[in-house]
Amino acid sequence: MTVIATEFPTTRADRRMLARYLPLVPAVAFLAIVFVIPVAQLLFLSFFDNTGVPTAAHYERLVANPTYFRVVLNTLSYSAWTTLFCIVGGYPIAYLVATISARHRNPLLIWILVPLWTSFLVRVLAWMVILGSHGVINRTLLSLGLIERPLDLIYNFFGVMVGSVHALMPIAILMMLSVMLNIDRSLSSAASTLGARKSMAFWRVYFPLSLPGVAASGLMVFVSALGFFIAPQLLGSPSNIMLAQLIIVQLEEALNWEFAAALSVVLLAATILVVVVFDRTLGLSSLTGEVRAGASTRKGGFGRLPGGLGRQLVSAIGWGSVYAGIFLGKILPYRRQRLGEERRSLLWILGLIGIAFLALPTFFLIPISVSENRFLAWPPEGFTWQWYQVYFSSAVWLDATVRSIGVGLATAALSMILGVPAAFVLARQRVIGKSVILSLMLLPMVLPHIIVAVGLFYLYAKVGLVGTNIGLIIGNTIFSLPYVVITVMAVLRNYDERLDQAAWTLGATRGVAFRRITLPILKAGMVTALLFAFVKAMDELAIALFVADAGTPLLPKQLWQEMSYKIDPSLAAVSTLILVIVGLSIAVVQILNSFGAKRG
Amino acid sequence: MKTKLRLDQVAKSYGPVRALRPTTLDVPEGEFLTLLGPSGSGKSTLLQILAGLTACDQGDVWIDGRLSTDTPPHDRGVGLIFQNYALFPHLTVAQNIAFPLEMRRLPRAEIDRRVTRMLEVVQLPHVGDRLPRELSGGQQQRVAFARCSVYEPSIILMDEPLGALDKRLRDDMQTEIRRLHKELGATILYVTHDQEEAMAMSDRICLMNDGGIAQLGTPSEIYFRPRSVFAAEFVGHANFIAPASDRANSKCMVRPENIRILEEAERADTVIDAILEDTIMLGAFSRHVARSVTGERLVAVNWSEEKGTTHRPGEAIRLGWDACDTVHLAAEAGR
Repeated sequence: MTVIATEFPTTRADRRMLARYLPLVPAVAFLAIVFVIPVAQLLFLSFFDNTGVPTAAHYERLVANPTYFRVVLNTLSYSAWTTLFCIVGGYPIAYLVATISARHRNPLLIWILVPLWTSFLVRVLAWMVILGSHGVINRTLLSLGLIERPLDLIYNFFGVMVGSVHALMPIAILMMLSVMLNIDRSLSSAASTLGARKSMAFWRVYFPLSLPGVAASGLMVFVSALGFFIAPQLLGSPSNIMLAQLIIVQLEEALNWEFAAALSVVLLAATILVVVVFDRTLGLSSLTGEVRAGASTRKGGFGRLPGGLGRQLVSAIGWGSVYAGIFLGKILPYRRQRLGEERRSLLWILGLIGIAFLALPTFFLIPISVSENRFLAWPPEGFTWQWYQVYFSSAVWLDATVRSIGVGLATAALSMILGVPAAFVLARQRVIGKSVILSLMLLPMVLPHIIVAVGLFYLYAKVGLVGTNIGLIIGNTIFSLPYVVITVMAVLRNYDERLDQAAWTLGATRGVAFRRITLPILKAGMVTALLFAFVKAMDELAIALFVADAGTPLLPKQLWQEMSYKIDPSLAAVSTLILVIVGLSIAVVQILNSFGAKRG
Repeated sequence: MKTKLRLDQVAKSYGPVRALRPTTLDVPEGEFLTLLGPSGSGKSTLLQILAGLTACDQGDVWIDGRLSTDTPPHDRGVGLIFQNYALFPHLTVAQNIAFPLEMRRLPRAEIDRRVTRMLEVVQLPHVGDRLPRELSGGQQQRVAFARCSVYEPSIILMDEPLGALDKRLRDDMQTEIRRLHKELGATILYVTHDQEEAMAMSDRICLMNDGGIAQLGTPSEIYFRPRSVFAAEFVGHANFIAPASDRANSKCMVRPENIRILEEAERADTVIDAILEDTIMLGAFSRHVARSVTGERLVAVNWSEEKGTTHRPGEAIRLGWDACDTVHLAAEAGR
């Protein structure tokens, strides 16, 4: 009897335990085969010469030549500056969005998200139009007589910074926002009743609580910037290159795969070092927004700052801003402030400048695309459809567009098939090794895309997938999958599981309950995930460069090649069309959603 | 009477935590049984096991004479009302109520007929086209009840269904649920931690503590004849008195209503000298708090009198009660 009593429950529990892991299997297997193994193989390659004999020669070359060392330093400092600007610029915007009423929040958020939905290459082209010597800024300042010669705004550090910060700030804002929205607003009120002035309450209460978000977005931006090559290549100075660019040069021009692999190891090592340091101090869970406000009290991170130094620093800033406020109040014209009325004009100004910086640049491409001037010069002259005719009469562009859309849709579908079941398990079940699996899923997001693409090319070369649509779809799915997993997990966190349980007890099988209850309620979130995956796949350059061959044109690859050699308004026309495609698909989804909501 | 529900040695652990000790329970048809207990006493686990949302580690569940231990929730024919109602936010009230009928593939006309009738039973005939969020808390509660009983489940489980409502609405809904219980002749298993609610509504109360059944009986049995210190303390107020010397290993308990403040020459089976500490007027009743000469705190509850009691705080009084009102409790082993 006792035997039965002890054995029976374990077998029941075991069966349930195994069934829980099942939905994770496809995604994990997929990533293991096309992500982990190729990257590992590539890194392995760096320890051999081109005849297959083990050697450390590539690393000796790396160390011996100070140029390479300079490139590494360059990359690190570039990432650090990008991080700093993203945080400093993004914090006020995130704070503004977090503290305004929910009704005003969504319109602001949409404008912040505009860059995320726009192709990175299109954005870079927009910055060329704005920053170039004939660009918007220089021409405007010249015509106003403020300057006599055009300023050097592009093909230098400034240009790279603008392009990179523009690319990464939305992510930084979103990650800070997810922490800020969890901060209890009444804490600031409590600080006020305890005698803290507004600015002091902010610095002593709100700011420390928001630090986990700042740290998480800092990590994300820094690691992403390490692998950037588009902005440095197109907006930066050719004499000042980054590690990822050096890898491309070694691959495409020097054809030195082993040395490129050694450079990849360096890039990867830098990435992993940053991630490990971050995980040790703050924990990776903050990346998925699971950080609680209390996490900052954990031993580690900012809590480790010696002897309350951090607190003293924050306190000093607090007092500083209190006195600055008193001083400003003295010199500015006196206006009686009602109780409860907040003076937030400075915050609004900063926030709106930041949002304009994020949202507006791409729109400058639209007038340029119908300008008769052939050098992307501002202001646009005349009106012509000729650049669109160039596009529509080009077999390569049309082929590239059709293929990109097709690959994008297939990628989105595959990402959903793999990602949704995995996200359900990760969000809802207690499974052993959850954090490891989640890290694996999110890893492609932070790893330099170029490393993955090159590793994949190596694998594809052996199995004959180079230049095939299937190869492209698989490659793009590696990068779209994390976005699907994160989005669906975020949606599921707000979903009340008791609705499913209610459906079951009312007679619905698991399948019916999922179809009739879970899916309709989560529909908007699911569609967002699908769109995200589609847009990311449309924009993925690294895969397009290394996995497609000359016979398979793709939009990002075509844009990249043309932008590198000759720039004319036909690129603006293509960019405008890309904006229209993405805009239309978002609009269609929105309309479908609101239609469904009304009917339901 | 027919047994609707039978639990046979059902137990459940979450890792090292014993959520439910082996438990056996029979519920006859048409009964209103309440699981009453503090949080963590195992009552919600028991409910989850009954609904099939959690699998038990051992033991068996019988519903309507069928072995249902491993039956998935949708085949159990058990209705569950959630604490937050779990109304589907994307469906209208009528669609919510129709949902279980659609799952059972009833013809459309029959579904419409039953939904309309059910909305009348819960006295919400005009809200069928509204979305759940457009209803008040009390209305949502009724819709949840309608959705759960429209398919005539063999047993209705309710998980603290009134917890989210305010006091007055809660009282109304208690009456309402009693009415629906009688009208539909349903068997109801009701979970609450509120002892007054349990007293007011139940045919029988199953008092739970520490993952097991502490006592099973009618409300008056539980109240007047508790079998353990826990039962005596959890339901109502308990005055504990030192036991007579011959029963040293037991405890004695008297309910406050049974203690009288004795007049000058009045006699009682048990008499204790005490000092009155305070008198609190509660409306119909007054609560007298006194300390006996041996240091025990005693509470007596008697009818209020308009002129108030003649006794003042600090005054010496005599408290007394009848021998039959003394409840002997077994000392609890291992606690």
